[in-house]
Amino acid sequence: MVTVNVNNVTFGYNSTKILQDVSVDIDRSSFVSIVGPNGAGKSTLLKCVNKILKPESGDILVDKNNIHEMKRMEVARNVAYVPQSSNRVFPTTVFETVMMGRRPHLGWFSNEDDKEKVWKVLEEMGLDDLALRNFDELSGGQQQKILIARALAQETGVILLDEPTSNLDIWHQLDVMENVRALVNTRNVTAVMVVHDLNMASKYSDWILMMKNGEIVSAGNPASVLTCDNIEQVYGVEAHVHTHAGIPYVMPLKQVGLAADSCMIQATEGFEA
Amino acid sequence: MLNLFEKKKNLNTTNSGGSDKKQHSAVREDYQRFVGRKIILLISMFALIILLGAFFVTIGPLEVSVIEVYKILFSRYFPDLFTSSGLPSQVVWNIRLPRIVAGIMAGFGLGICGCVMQSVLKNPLASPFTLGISSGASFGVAVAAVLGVGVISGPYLLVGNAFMFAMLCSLFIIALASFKGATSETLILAGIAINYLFSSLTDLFQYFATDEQLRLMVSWGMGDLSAFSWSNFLLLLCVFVICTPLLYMKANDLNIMVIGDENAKSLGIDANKVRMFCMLLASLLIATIVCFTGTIAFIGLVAPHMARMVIGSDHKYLFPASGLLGALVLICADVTGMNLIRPTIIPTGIMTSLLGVPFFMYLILKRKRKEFW
Repeated sequence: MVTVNVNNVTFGYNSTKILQDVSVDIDRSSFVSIVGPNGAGKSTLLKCVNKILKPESGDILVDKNNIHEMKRMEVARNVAYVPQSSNRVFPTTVFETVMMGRRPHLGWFSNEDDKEKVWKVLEEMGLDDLALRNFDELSGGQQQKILIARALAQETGVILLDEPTSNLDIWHQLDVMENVRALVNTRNVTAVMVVHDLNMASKYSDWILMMKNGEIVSAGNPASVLTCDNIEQVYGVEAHVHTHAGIPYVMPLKQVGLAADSCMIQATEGFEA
Repeated sequence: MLNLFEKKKNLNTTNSGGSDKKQHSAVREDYQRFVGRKIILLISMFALIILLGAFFVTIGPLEVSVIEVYKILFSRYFPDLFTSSGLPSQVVWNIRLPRIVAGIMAGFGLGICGCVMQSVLKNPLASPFTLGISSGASFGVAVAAVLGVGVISGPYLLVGNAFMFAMLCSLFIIALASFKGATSETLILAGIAINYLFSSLTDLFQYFATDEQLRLMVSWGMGDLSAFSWSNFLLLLCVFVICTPLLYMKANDLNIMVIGDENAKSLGIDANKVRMFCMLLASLLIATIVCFTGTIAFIGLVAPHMARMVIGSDHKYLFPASGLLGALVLICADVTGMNLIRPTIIPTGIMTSLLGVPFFMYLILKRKRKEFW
């Protein structure tokens, strides 16, 4: 797997600091979820790793190479980014969209080899029937899968995903998560995902980063991060944490401060906090 | 780097078996047909332009027979074999042919620049006209006509001023685009504001102009291909030869520019650099065309949309198609304007809009919006 090291990264617009001295090493687990309230700096961290944003200070290493010493094209050959599905001004077909992922590898002419790779990715993800359809015509779930296919065609060791499951129904949420999990398992890709759904993060990821106000509050396996205390501290929400088959599940109860009940932990079978 | 494709595990358990294989090849065949169709479309558009050009050179207010027209043309290259002289020769060689060549070049240039501007600004409303470039040129002409002052004097006073003011407007838009935080909406709004500013200034000049000055300004503002002559040809060709290949080389990047700056950056494209580069080259080309032909605004806006409707949005095909359709519409409109109510020649700009708008409306109404932009 490819390692990602974030060393003392600070980022801000003018005087507002969005990331404050963030350090994290992703070198053991290959499916990492970043969770935290809105405005915590999750997406900003992701965009710094991809060189979309340039941090004020600190280094980011991908596969032991500092990305600030790399050309943008070179970064794009190592790190892929899956955005939240966006509306297009002009239509592009699914094939053209996935072909964009080949851009960091190709010259002016897209050769047969690149086309073949795009077809392979589409076939593997079961999207080849949609190849000539317009991206905009497809459902949110299909669009998200096509953006993942684009990242696959980019053939990178690291894939960053920015809230890929928001706006999707539960079937498609699971579908996207299963796809990413399969990538990590079969292709040895490091996936870093920003996600709001704590239960999705818990079920699928090896490691969870919990952020608040531009800082990492807690990091570790799902059971150690998703605790009542952490959730109350970070989100200001009182929650039950159930454990089912070794995986913690979070059930939010109420906002803290509105009522002064104590945090409850309902320990069930297999709980290991 | 790890090779992801060595592992042939299926990510999706639903694909397996021979029947799927068959289906895959069917989709691929569809794709090949899709690409083949685009290439055939481009070739046929090109052929149509050549054929129409060859036909249009034979018609005009002065009756010259087809055979005589070609005798005149060939006599330029084979003076031993063909002979020609007199008025018909003047008309064919110095009026009709330059007009058709100018129409093809101006239409092509406006089409590709419109296409590039729409893509780098991610806005279907972007065009030389909406960005204020044409109205800047108009104002330059007004200044030259009324005050008689310009950057260069002599026969190129009007043209020089038009070019200067067109470039000035483009540079303002480009400077604004490079300014951090200026979105493509900001640019279009700024362009429309500039449009109003220069239109008002032009109106002001028209208010004080004499009849002769007024006539000059109005006819220029309507867009007129007759100002073009062989002496301008080389200059226009040079700008074309420089700008067009450089812009076309960015076709792959333009494909990615339309999905937004962040996406483009994540795919290794420096969005701001590409935008600056393309806007500069497109502006140069536009300013050169506009200063010879006047404001033929409509082509730059609609030719790319028409092209998108017939050929899709891959810029490798869209870019030449926008140019070819622009050229096609412009020469058809111009020849109609020349021959509709002989001997009066209706200005090119007017005819382009009169013919182009209904055609464009038809295309819009015929298809669902989603299919093209």
